[in-house]
Order: sequence, then C-alpha cells, then structure tokens
Amino acid sequence: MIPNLLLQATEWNPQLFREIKGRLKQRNLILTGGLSLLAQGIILLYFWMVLPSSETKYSRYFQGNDPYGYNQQILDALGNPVINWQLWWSDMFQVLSWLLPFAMLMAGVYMLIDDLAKEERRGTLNFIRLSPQTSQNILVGKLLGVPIVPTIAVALAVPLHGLAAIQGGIPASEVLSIYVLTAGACAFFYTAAVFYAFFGGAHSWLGAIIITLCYLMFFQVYQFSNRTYYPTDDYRYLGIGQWFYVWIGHSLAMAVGFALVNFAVGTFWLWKSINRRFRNPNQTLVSKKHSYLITLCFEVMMFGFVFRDNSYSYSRPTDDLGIMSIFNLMWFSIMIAALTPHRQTLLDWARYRRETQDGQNRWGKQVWNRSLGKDLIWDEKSPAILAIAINLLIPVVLFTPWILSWAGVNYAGTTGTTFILRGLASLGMLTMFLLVAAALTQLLLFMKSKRRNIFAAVIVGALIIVPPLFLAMLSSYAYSYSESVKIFWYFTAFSFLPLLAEGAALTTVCFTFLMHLGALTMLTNRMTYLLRKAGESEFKALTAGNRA
Amino acid sequence: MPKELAISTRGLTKQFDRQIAVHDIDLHVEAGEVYGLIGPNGAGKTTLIRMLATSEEPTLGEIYINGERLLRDQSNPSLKRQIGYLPDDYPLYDDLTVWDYLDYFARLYQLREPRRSQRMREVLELVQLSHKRHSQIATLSRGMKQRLSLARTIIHEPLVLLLDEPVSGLDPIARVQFREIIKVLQEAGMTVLISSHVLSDLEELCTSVGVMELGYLVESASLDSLFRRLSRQQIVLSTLGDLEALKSELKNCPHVEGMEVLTGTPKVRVHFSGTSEDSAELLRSLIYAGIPLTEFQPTQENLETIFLKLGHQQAS
Repeated sequence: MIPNLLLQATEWNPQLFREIKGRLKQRNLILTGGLSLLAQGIILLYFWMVLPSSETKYSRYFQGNDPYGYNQQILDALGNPVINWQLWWSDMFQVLSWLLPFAMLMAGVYMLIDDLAKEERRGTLNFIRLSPQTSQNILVGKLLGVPIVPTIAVALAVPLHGLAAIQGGIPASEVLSIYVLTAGACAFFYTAAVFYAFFGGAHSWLGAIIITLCYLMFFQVYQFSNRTYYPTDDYRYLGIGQWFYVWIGHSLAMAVGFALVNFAVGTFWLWKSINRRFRNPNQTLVSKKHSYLITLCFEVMMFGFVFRDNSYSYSRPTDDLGIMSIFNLMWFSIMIAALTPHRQTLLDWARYRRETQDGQNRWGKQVWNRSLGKDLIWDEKSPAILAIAINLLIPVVLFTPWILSWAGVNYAGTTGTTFILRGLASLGMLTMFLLVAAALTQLLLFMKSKRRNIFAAVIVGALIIVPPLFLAMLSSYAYSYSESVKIFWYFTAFSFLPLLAEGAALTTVCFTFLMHLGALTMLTNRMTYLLRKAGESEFKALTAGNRA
Repeated sequence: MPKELAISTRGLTKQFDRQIAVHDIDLHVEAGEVYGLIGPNGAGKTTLIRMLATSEEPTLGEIYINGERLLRDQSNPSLKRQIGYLPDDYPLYDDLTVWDYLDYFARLYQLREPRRSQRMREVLELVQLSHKRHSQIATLSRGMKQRLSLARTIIHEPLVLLLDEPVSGLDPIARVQFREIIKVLQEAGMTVLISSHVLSDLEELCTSVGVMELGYLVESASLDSLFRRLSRQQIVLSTLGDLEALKSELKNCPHVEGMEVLTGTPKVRVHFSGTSEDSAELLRSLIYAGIPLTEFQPTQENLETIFLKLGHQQAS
C-alpha cells in the first residue's frame, strides 16, 4: 500500500515507519478519502443551494455593496442573474479555512492522547524506551505518524481550498499564512497532547473537547476584536492588538510571526518536558530549573498586552490585572501539578539524600556540600514548594513596578493610589492562595494511596472552583457585598475579583493574609515532619520501635 | 585468570515506600554464563531484573554491563544494544503481524538491510515461528506469543539476556521448546540471567544460581559448587531377596551415612558420601555377598531439594 519512496523516507525514523504502516491500511485509506470527499461534497452542495436563482430578489451573492448582504438582483442581457462569484468562492474559502485546521487539530490531539494512553496501559512504551533510539526520534515519529490519517483527509481538501482562494481573489500571503499557522498550531497542540498523555491523562475525548473550546474561543476573540468595540479603524489580524506598544495585528506578517514565535516557544518547552518524561516516567514533567524560565516566558508574553496606547481611557487598570490573574491562576495550577514530585521520589530524596554521591541519579556532586535550600531550589527530587514560591515571585516582581505606575491614573473618580493598593493586595492574596494550594498538593501527593493523583486533582480543583461557585450562587454578583460577606471571597482563588473591583479594608486584607499564612505554615510544618520521619533510617525506626 | 564479568552490581538497592525490595546487592555474573535467579514471590527478583534492564531506577547503587556503567538515560545507546529484556508479562501489539512486529524492533535497534531481513528470518526459525510470519499477533497461542517476545528480545543479538519468569504459564511442550532455545543462545555466547520458579528447568540450563530472599541475595554460586557443597549423593537399590540382608550388608560400608526403605517397594535409598570408585566397590561387595540386586542407581539431590534445604522460609 505504501509507496516505495515513502518507505525509504521513513527508514530514518522507525517509529514513524511503524505508525504509517499500522495506520495506512487499505480500509483506513478508503474510509478517510471517502469521508473527506463527502465533507467537501456537502460544503459544495450547501454553497450551490445558497446560490440565488432568477426568482430571488435579494441575495448576498448578487453584485452590490449592501453592508448587510442584501444586494438586489441584477440581470444580464440574457435575463440571467449576475452572480458575484468572487464572493461566493471567498465564502467557501472562509469555511474551509475554518474547518481544515480544526479537523487537523481536533483529530490529531484525540488520536495522540488515545495512542499514548493505550501504549502506556499495555506497557509497550517501555520496550521502545529501552531501545537505543533517542526520545526525540520516537516522539517525532509519534507526532508525525499518529495523526497521518486526518492529515491525509485534510490534504485531500487542499485542492478545493486552493481553487476557492484563487477564484475568491484571496491574496497568496493570506492563504499561506493559514497553512503556516496551522502547522504552528499543530506542532504546539500535538506536543501539548503528548504532555497531557504523559501527565496521566487517558481521556482523549477530554483533549478533543479542550481543543474545540480553545478553537471556538479564539474565533470569538478574533471576531470580537474586529467589531467596532475598540476605537480603531484598522483590521486586526488574528485579533491581536498591541504588545509592548508595538502594533502586531496591523500587519499580517507581524501577526503571523508573533503567533508563530509564541507557538515555537510553547512547543520548545513542551518538547523539553515530554522528552524528559519519556526518558524517565518517574520524573516530574518539568524540572525546577526550567520552570523558572518557562514561567518567565509566559509572564512576559502575557504582560506585553498591558502596554498599549491609551490603555486606561476606556477601562480601569485593574481590569488588566484581573484578566492576568485569571490566566495566572490557570498557569500556576498546571505548574503546581507539573512540578510537584510524588511520594516515592520524596521518600528517596528524604531517605538517601545524604548517601547518594555524584552518581547515577545525578543528584549533584558531593552531597554533603549541598544545603537544603539549594536542594529545594534546583534538585529534581526535592519538594516543590520553594520552587513554586520562586515561580510565583516572577509575576510579583514583574507586575509590582507596573502597579506602582498607576499613581497618575484617575478613572471615574477613583484615584491611582486606591488602584495601587487594590492591585498590590490582590496580587499578594492570589500568591498566598497559590502557595497554600501548592503546599496542599505536595501533602496530598505524599499520601500512601495509589490514587493520590486523583485525590490531589479533585481536592485542589474543588478548592479553586467550588467556593467561588458557591458564593456566586448565594448572591448574583461577585462584587457588591457588605464587608462581612466579602471576606469569604478573600479565602477563595478568585479573591482578586472583589478586591480589584471594590477594594477592602486594610484590617480585612491583613486578617485574610495572616489566615493564609497560618494555613501555609501548618501545611509546610506537617510536610516537614513527614519528610523527617521518612528520612529516618530503618535502623532508627527499628530501635525506636524497640524502645517503645 | 578470572573471566570477564558480563553483569556486575555494587550495593544495588531499591526501596518502594518503606519496604526495601532489593537490598544492597552485589551480583556478579561472568560472561557466557546462564545464571538462574530463584526465590519465593516477592523476594525482589523482578525488581532486580527490571533495574538491570534500566526499566526501573535504582534507589542506590551501580550497575555495570561488560564493565561499562549503566545509566538510565540516553548517554549509552551502545550499552542498551547489548541488553535484551523479556519481562514476565511480555506485552505485544495485537494489530501487527509477526513479521511487521519484528521488523519494527529490528529498526528500533538500528539493524540495516540486508542484515535486518536475514536476522529476522534467523530468529523466526530459532523460535519456530517461520510459518506464522504473516499471522496477526492476536491469533497466536500463549506459547507462540512467548516465543515471539523472545525473538523480539534477541533480534539485535544482545550480549546479555534478562529473562523474567519466561516459562510461567507455558505447557510442558512449550517449556521444552523454550529450554532448547535458551541452550542455543548460550552456545551462541550470550550471557543469560533467568528467573524462574521451575527449578528443574534451571537445573538443566544454568551454570550458576543465586537465591534471593526478602530483597537479599543470600546465595550466589556456580551450580557445581552448590551441588558439591549441599547435594548429597544417593543410591537407590532394589533386591529380589531379603531386605534385611541387604541392609546389614550396607551397614558394613563406611561411606553409607544412612538409609531408608522406600515404603511399599523392596527398595532402599542410601545416603552415600564416597566417590564413584567407592560406589563401584560397594556394588562389587554386594554382588560378592550374593545379594540378588535388580537396581543400583546413584543419583544426586536436585536443585529443588537443595533450595528447600537452604531453609529459606519467606512466605510467598
């Protein structure tokens, strides 16, 4: 079935060869080709049906410039309606440009998660791991080979897409940008799918749902940003505005370049992480050393959007901080999960930290020279709490000067100083909440239960989501409360919502901060106690038992 | 001059939670040996083998394969090529054919054509699956799957073969076939480390054995020295005449350390400490004494008896 040329091309990567050979079976190819042609047929049929006839009075596809698409019928010399074929083809191009990347992304992500979860479940991945192939080779083979069937299905639709672009008079640069962006998005989301699978995620449907939501959200933002909401006459490519005062969205090349750089940076770190996890499934997904750089990349990328012309003429500065806080909450939830080591790793670290010498586990040289602090910041196996605290410090360091620069802002009667106080309080509160969540996660992942993963995800997830939901259900609007009700909000992950909107009394903020600090101290003390116990030698445990 | 060590470990330790599965093991297996690992369930055999295969990371200790340090990373692809590992559950890809499966692993281990096809034919012939080369793996019997897994394990001609319970669940014929294959591999110069509960198989295959218990390697010796040290020689005799006459005649021999009558038969089992010449002398003396012997069979205690005699009582 496979052409000889393809066979030769796959000689360099055995994994790619295996995937192609396993997937490109006659039945699959016929089914894929059939489905792709059927989908194209349906699209063509739909566009054929919306073509106006000689009896139609108004149509989008008559010649004319009606902004709402109700152009009047114009007849040619022979009495046939004059159709705006360019628009008709252009619309078809739009539909295909939406559908093709979506099909590639969703099917690919679904298949990758499904395939890797299956390999992990059966135990076959271990054999591949033991072979002399590099993890890069195997993972490239998986990333290119597993989604080969949807790729072929999409490739079959490329001629129609191209024809629609030519007939629709779409500039070549725009057509090309769709393909380039699809490639970039596939690289990023496919690697993210492998990351999710190595994270222990076996639900491929969940991956497909997430990718669908992301895709739909992107189009919502894209369309929203190009409506008349913002006072700009320029078209925003990809819905991107300014970034560090540079107009990205005004030029197609800049917008595509910006998106590609972001995809590239994201893919790079995900790639590092999946390679690391493939080589040793007992390691955390992200090393402490890398986590600092990854968080810095993310924060700088996000922070850039804050710097734009006339930032606070139409909105409060705290709105930007609020949006960034939501993204940070999601970001650090993922980082906590990716950085926190499990029970066995911690036991080994606590018990043998001082005995392992420059050796196989690469715990560092001359262990006795190392301080505990150094271990907690850099070591692969140590508890993650200090590393997460350092990660949390990155947005604090970045945002604080920016918050202090609000002094001159005056929005709807609220002074800059008030905004500054609200901003600092909300930043501090979110940081404290995330630290408590990190300490709790570490404690939960130290449990003896084999299902500690699920316990940790459910408990910490519930801690983030349930209280705000409950409070939101109690009253219809998050911001307008009396101080006594609002205090409950300050203990949730979304404390920044009421804080940024309305502020709070200093005593309330201090009280909440101290409560968070108390919880954090309690959790870290408990963890320290458990690690000390775990670090005791068996001999000590035995003699202690005898004494008792 | 001592032979080169194919496998050597120093202070190899693996701890799961608070339980030490493998405790400070210094294992030495010489090149070309077939080393049998025996011990009750939970003694740490599988964990030890998994660490040797880099499938598990040691908590402490070092592993050397043919004198080279084995690490669980990408720093030593050449060393990985020297190891073949067959776990006890041997997972396979049911959607592939036998040939495609082997082809996949031959490529993973960087075998190039024409050597690749030639090697695949060789191993299929060795494991007697040539006639099944185009069959889907899902349609194979358990024994065939086991043999295919072994074929996958040896496709790249490893120098060290690690086999974890390779005959468990196989019928007697499949076990015999498997044993024969291992013998061929040993003759080809591979060093084999094999764990099994079927001690009769190990007795036939192994040159050395190690006994594991509660994570410790409590015994590690060549099979010959183990037999010399722990296996008593026995002679089973049967007579047509009076058993008492035979017994009194046997008591005259200084090498007879004890005897027991096998219940329900005119047979006596003698524990004998002499050499082969001494046993020939005993036979001659019995014939001179006019004992009508119908059987004179010198035997040795088998590995199973020795294992039980070692008194390792860890519950399975």
